Amino acid sequence: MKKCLAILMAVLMVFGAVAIAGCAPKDKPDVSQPDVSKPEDTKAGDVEGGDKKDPSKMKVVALLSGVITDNGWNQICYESVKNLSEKYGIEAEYNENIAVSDMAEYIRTYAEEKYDMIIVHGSQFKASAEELAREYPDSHFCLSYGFRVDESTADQVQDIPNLAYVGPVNMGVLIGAIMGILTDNNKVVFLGGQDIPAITDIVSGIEEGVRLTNKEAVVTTDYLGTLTDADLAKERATAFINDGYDVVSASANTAQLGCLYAAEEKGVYALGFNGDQYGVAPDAVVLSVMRNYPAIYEDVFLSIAESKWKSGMVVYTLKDNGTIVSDWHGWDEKLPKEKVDAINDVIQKLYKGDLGDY
Amino acid sequence: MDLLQTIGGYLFTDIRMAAPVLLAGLGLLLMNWSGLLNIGAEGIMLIAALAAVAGSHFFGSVWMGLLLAMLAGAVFGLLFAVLTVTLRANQTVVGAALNILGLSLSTTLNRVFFGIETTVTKVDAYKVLEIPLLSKIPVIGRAFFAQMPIVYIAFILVPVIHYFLFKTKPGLNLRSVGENPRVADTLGINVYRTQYLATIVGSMIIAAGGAFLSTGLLNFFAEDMVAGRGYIALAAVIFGKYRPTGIMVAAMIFMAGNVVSNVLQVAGVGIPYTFLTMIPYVLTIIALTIFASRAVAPASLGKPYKRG
Repeated sequence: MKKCLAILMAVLMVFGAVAIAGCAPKDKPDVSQPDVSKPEDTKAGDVEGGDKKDPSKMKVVALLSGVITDNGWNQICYESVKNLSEKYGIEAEYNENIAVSDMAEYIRTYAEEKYDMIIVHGSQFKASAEELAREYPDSHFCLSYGFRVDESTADQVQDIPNLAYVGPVNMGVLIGAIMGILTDNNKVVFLGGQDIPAITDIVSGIEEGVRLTNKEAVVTTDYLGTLTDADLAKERATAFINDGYDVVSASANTAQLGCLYAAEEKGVYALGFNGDQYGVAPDAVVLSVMRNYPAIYEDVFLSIAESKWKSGMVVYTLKDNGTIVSDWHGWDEKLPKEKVDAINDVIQKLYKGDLGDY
Repeated sequence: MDLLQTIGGYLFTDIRMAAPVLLAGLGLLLMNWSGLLNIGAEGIMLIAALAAVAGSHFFGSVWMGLLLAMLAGAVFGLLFAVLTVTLRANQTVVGAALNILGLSLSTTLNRVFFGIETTVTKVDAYKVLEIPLLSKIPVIGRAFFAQMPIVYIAFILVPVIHYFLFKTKPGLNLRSVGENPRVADTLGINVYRTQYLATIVGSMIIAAGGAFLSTGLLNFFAEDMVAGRGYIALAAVIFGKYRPTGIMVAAMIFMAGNVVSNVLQVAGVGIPYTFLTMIPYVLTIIALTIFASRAVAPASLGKPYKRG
């Protein structure tokens, strides 16, 4: 009986442990793709010379802090490697749910395997990325980072030739500018999940953005203290809406969905973030603003292939297409025309750089 | 009047948010009184939250979702009972395993059912069921009588379970199993069957709490959405001194902490959010230290029973 129990327990624990360490520890987003392109690879490889690399032969891995279905930060990175895998037929891998304490080991594993591009997705892994980038100069390390609009994060960047701190900037300004136009009550609120670089970068730009379009509005930015508790987020957003706030937006992975849901229930406007979230609350989500990591990492990927790699702070401004705005999904018909025009106008101006260097 | 209305609003939120924790606590209570310590409520709630969304999505009815969630809960309960009652495994370890299993399984199944999309699948959710006349009572009317059906069920279960545990013979049998299984056994009570039943029914009640999170308070499943409520329920049982009414009070105090932090943040008093996030937990810890010493757990709680 005891043996039986021991075996059962072991099976249970191993199953659980494997799953929590990453439901697909070495999953390839697209398995069939590399096979198709292999014959071409060999041909291309023969001709190639110098430092340039054949994109389809490069190996890329994304190391993630959370799960690829978080509707946010980690999912967008998964989309990025999936995009690379689909477009270039490369071998792209990802690992989920990596703790800060384990990151160094993961990086080492892939660096030893001579991966060309190692995406370390999150500022909390900064120390591990810096240490191992020095140790493995042959791999290119990309640390996904968030930069505040006041550039106070710039001095955190270390000069390591094979490490880039990659991220879009001024997203918050764009979100704020749209919020400023949407509000009728002149009260807007943006809720971050936690006080971490990839969230504070947005929070830091909200007020500046609102001021571009609305001089009087009350702008509140605060933090929920959770990235998963959608229910708590919903109640918090509801409390703000009951206080007269009529435009809500949030950056808190799955918890932010609760905020959008609250906006729909209460009949106020919301902005989606990090994914096209119109479907979450079609009666509230006017537009969604997204980090364009797929394009950003494609750009970085090609820079490695063409040996145009840049280290240090690699930022993508609105002008560089670091941030994208979703489709209107019919809201351009539902909103008053002057608001639609104003929003279209401010988006265009921001991307062109007419309102300042964003 | 305005202030009273605001207080009524707070009470409404408090009761609504307390319901899942209350259900989980009541389910745990049944298990505890039968002598089983299950720390796996979090995992059961998670898998139930997913099952509820899946049921509601595939069968088009939120009640089918609840049914599927309770079935999933029953399966988890059965697994717990097999491991701890029949095989006499360490209950804390099995409970921890359930939590990990619930998190991983719900994550994996969520991807299997709904794919890896940036949008979530929305499903049929509970509608508010207003009780005529009573819901018109000023201040407390809406808070108590304009809630979703599961909230009523959760609060009705409080006297029902209290009556069952302390006024009926099967309830007495259940408690005697938790106090002294050997004596219960000699008196002809089937200890194993009682523990199995308590675990399965208890897990189904916990599962109802999980289902309410995903199809009541929200209408979608998000990974790890239970966010610690299963553990809060564990604390609520002890804080509630192993009494259904006590658990109800505990769940409401904890969620009142959340309401307070909401109010403070909206008021913009400038308290850092990290402190606001702490309020419900600090309240729980304070309450625990004050009351836990006087809580008497069932004597054989957590001790495996071997017949003969």
